[in-house]
Amino acid sequence: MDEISLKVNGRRQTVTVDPETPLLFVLNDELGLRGPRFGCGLAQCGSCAVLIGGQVMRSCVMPVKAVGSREVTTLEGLGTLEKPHPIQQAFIDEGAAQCGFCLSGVILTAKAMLDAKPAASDEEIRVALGGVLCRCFTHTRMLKAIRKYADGKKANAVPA
Amino acid sequence: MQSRREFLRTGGALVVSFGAGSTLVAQGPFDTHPSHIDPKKLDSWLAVGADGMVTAHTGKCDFGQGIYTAQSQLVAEELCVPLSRVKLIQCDTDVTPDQGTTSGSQSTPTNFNAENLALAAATAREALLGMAAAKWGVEADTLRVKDGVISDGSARSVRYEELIGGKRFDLAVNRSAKRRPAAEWTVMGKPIHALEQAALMTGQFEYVQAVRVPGMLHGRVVRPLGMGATLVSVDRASVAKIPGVRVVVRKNFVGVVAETQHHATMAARQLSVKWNPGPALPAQSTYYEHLQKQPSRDSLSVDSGDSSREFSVRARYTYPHQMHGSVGPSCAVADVKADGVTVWSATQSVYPTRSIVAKLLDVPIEKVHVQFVRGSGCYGLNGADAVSFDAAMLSQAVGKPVRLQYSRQDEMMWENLGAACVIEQRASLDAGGKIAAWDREDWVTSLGSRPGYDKTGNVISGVLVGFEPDSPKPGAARAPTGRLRNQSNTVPCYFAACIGGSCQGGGTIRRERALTHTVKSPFFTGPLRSPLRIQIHSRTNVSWMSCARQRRRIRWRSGSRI
Repeated sequence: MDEISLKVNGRRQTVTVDPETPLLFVLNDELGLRGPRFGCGLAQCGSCAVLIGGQVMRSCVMPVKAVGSREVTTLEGLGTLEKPHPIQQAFIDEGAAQCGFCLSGVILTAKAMLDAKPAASDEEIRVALGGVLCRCFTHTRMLKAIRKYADGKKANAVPA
Repeated sequence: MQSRREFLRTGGALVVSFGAGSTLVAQGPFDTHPSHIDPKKLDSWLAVGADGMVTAHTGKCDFGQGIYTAQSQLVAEELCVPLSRVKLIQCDTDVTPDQGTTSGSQSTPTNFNAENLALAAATAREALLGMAAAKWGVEADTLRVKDGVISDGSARSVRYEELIGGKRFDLAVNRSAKRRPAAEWTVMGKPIHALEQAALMTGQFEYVQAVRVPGMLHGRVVRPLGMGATLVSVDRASVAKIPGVRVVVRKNFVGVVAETQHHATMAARQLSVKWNPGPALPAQSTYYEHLQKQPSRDSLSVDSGDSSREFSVRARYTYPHQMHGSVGPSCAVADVKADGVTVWSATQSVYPTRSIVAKLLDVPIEKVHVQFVRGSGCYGLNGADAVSFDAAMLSQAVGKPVRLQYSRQDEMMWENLGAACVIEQRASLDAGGKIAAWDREDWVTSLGSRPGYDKTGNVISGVLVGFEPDSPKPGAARAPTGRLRNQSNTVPCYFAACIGGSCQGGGTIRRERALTHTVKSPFFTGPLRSPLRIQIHSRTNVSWMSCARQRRRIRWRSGSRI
């Protein structure tokens, strides 16, 4: 067991765990976070997605020791119930979830993609989300929510 | 921190007043088992708190289909209170009436029509109006109610909580209570998003996977490779080096628990277990032909009795076993103590699950509490029931609360799959190109299914500890009843130009038969939204209808496959 210091959702925290423990288990069990969830355990579905240094990563296969000094952001780190992040608000407005289990993968992947490429086309968004599974088939509403967020982001962008 | 039960007890003072204790048979088409919460009593269904909050109880739970929101709207509408003032508690054997299983698209008919939750809310509204009328010495039908405030049209008004707040109604649900007419609806019929959307999108929602209780250990199961395998030996030394691991063995059930998920996962992977393999599986390449050769339990939905086997058009449809494929594999938390058992479960059937847990643990059913907590999307009988049983067995064995998370492999290999089937369609057309004869024969696989209240062997957990699954007993078909029982949509509606009636010479068909052979499946099967119904039988029937009728134009080849 090692003491490991992590910065998660803006807060620095120390956990005492086996350094090989997948980051997902640390987030769920040591830090009590509910956003990232165990889906396949094989980095194939996206339910466990988190942002690490702005990149979407699958936390179920990443040992906690590999995080290093990079900051981890989970779905609950974007916004709150009272003040959701604009992409979360777009999903709320579109009712873009049925069971909702896959949302970390969907929302964080879309956000990371649009942060990197704000003018992404629908096709590019679809390709980016190709590796994120939603078994309820809520895709149409999700894509609508993502488009709404992307358009809002463009409209609010300050011209360089 | 409060425990969940303490929260329920203290957070809802009015919950204490709910009508538990009596033993009566539940009513309604889906309430088939005695329940300890009397659905005839209004207090079993809802209460108005001193703060005006309405707490309502339902035995139909939400796993993503939106019924939590819809039922909350129903209660708000019938009681004439704002939606924000309704708190719905779903599927908890300590407080909600037994409404069987949330399945088969039956939640709306069960709770929105002429009984149960809808009627309870309507009864409560009428009772409150009656109380206000008595207080003011006027007729109840002269009063109005809006947002939980009753008024007489002048200056007098009274709030629900002033009349009943925190107290029992002590009334029976009135079967003739008047429902709010649709024309006056202010809450129902208005499109809103599911109430939990914001919690979902911000990662705050509590799935059963997120339930944590003090002192909880993490469990994993170790399964054999196939049905019918038996345990030879378990080498506990193979995991001795992993911190805090305990191995649990009960007949052919093998599991591990540890203080962390990481160590439980490692132990499940590394535990050395020897199995005697069960019977080999049939070859996949000839699976459907294999099914058609198996002994079967036959049933005739309809048979005109004409023995002629000549048809001019034929087609054969095959449909594979399908998994539910929930994104998150099933998970449950169980806490088995000497004085009682609590299971947090994503089951669609809290009361049946309670009954099976009692049987598996050999404890009195009264001591078992099953509380529904939503899991990953469920589309029929996925692993949610089995994981609840397994978690309870692990907790009982180690004397601590256990959270059991299935791996993707556990879920895929052992959930009750959708039934594979073969469907053969045959027809003859008359000179005018109309269908004159229609013969439909299908082979459907079956093994296990929902455990219900007493079929412990219908899912993997029960079989591993020695219970038998339901399996079709071969036998010839009995005569058709003459009435088309089209529950599984095996009977083409075109046969009879009606569903649930009989043909009686209507339409163009003069010769008709629908014969089903149910054969034993090599895999567990169960409901999956739902191959026996809409997705398969109806689709093949409809597809066949179009094909058969276009025979002249498309030159259908005899015996061709679709």
